[in-house]
Amino acid sequence: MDSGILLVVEGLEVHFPVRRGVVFERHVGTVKAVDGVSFVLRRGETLGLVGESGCGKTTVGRAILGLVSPTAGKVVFDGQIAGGAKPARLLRRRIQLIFQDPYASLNPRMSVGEAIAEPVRLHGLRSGETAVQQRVRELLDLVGLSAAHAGRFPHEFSGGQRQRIGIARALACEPELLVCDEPVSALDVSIQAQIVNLLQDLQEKLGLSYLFIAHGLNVIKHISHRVAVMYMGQIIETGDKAAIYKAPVHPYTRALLSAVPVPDPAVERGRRRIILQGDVPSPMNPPPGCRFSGRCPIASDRCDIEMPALIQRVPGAHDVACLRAGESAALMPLAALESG
Amino acid sequence: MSALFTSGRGRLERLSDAARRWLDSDLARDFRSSPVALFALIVVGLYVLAASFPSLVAPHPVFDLSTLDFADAFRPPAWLEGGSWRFLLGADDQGRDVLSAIIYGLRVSLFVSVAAVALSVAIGVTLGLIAGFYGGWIDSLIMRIADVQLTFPAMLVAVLFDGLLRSAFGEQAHHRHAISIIIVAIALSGWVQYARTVRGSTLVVSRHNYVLAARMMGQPTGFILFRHILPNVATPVFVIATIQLAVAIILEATLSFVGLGVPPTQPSLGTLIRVGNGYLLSGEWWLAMFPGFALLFLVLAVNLLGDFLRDALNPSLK
Repeated sequence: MDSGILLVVEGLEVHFPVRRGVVFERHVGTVKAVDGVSFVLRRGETLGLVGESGCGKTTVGRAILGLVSPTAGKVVFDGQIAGGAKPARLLRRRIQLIFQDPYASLNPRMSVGEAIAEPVRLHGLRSGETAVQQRVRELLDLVGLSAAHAGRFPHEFSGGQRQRIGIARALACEPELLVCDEPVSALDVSIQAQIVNLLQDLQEKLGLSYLFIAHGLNVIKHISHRVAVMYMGQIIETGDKAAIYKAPVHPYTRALLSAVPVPDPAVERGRRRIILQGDVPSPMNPPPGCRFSGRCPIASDRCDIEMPALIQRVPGAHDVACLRAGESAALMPLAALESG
Repeated sequence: MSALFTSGRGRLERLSDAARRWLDSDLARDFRSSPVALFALIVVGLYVLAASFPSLVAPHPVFDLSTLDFADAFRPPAWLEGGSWRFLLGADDQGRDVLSAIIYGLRVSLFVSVAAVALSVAIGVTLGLIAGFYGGWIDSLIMRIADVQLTFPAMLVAVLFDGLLRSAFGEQAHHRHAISIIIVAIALSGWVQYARTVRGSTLVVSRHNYVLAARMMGQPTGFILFRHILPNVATPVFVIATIQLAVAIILEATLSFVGLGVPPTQPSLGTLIRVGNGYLLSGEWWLAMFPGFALLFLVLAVNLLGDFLRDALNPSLK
């Protein structure tokens, strides 16, 4: 694996103003969708970005794709500043997006072959119509569809097949980074595995990097090399897959992991879910201290006042933002981890 | 299958594929099960055919003055006393065959109304796409102009525009461009409907992810508008255009009837009715009545076709 750094996200903040009123709009507050997110993605690596709905994980993806402008911080792709209002067309090509909903992501009036040929022609990646069609066949083959599918329209395909078409269309741009925004959440469980395996195969063949966004830890476990857990616009724990799954520290990560069923019945019987109390606070008015303090089962008085920084626990392999990082393992035991 | 990708034979195959898909489509099926719509389609088809090749269909070349004979003036229709089978629907004050005049007039009427509808579709769809896609002040500007446009009745717009150009260009130049002027005048009064409909659908469609995907791959906005959004908002445009075609035919006839339309050298159905109108009370009723019936059946058939399309293409009525 090439360990060259492909993407650097540094202190990324994306704030959305909230306005009220129709004629006399007034500014009533700011939603800090992303509030100081930093991470690094290497070539050929997959970073899993996990968090519940509304935690800002999709907004991070959109900022990298240049679909929203960062309020502060920067996105550096292969040495170039990306994520501005109008990124260069070349940069656009090198970062592509895989969508969550395979039904709305394909133009119903455009044949599959046309949809895939479009970026090939646009970027002049093949010259001559024969070469373009040859490329379309290659791409269909690459994602496990047949060349005979080129003349068909999206409504003739199942959800899983459509997701493959979406992947082929993204690959047609010959990208280096794919932002996968919950690419399997809308699919059946059996199909989910197929798509995840396909993405893994493609990564091996083409040396792609993935930013894999998901709301659950189980899908991420199969595909990620590293995992970052987000809560209310911030990364609260990040590290190598082994670190996050075997030795999670942050109480939120531990609670998330306790919700994942274990395939071993002996362990599963002993699994105790950590049920979090309360709701996510309003993103317009976040708590002053640790964002998680209101729901945290082990929060102390200090957690309500002081915002914890992301601190390295294992150099280069595991960072946590928690004031009680040293105590969480003892206070919140996880059956699944102890078994190994 | 590989033949699909080679040029010549492949294109032909794809074309026949498209034809088969069309014959197999819901719309074609609806047509087959609706005798009224089928009848309307045939009537409109015959009209279009007659208008396209008037010299083949019309029994007399009405614009060739040398063939006119004053002895034939005011000859009544063939089945009446004094009628002749040479002049099936009678002849006018100069011995011109009414049927032939109708067929040549039809050509002008249809050309003007089809061109006017095409122009208003082009204006309305483009502005609607832009308003819906960009939103913001561009959207507000376009839609406020549309609102203002709607407060003027179509007839008034046409009269205003006609008068404006008449005073700007002078009578002579106006005469030469009369056909273009009436086309633009009718088009200007019709574009708002398309703009509003297309804007509404564009607001919805441009939020779909395939539009985002096209932006992600760096497609220029114009390409996204016409290749990705337009095909998905076009269905209601077809329906409105068909119904508007009937309105345009009537509007053209009305303008020509009051003398604001096409010049008398290129008579349309409206012009024929206006000329014939002068003889209604003196007994030569066929001069106004037959062009009137021709207009009536044309508008009726187009309207029936429009109503059918509106129902057939409306998914909520299935």
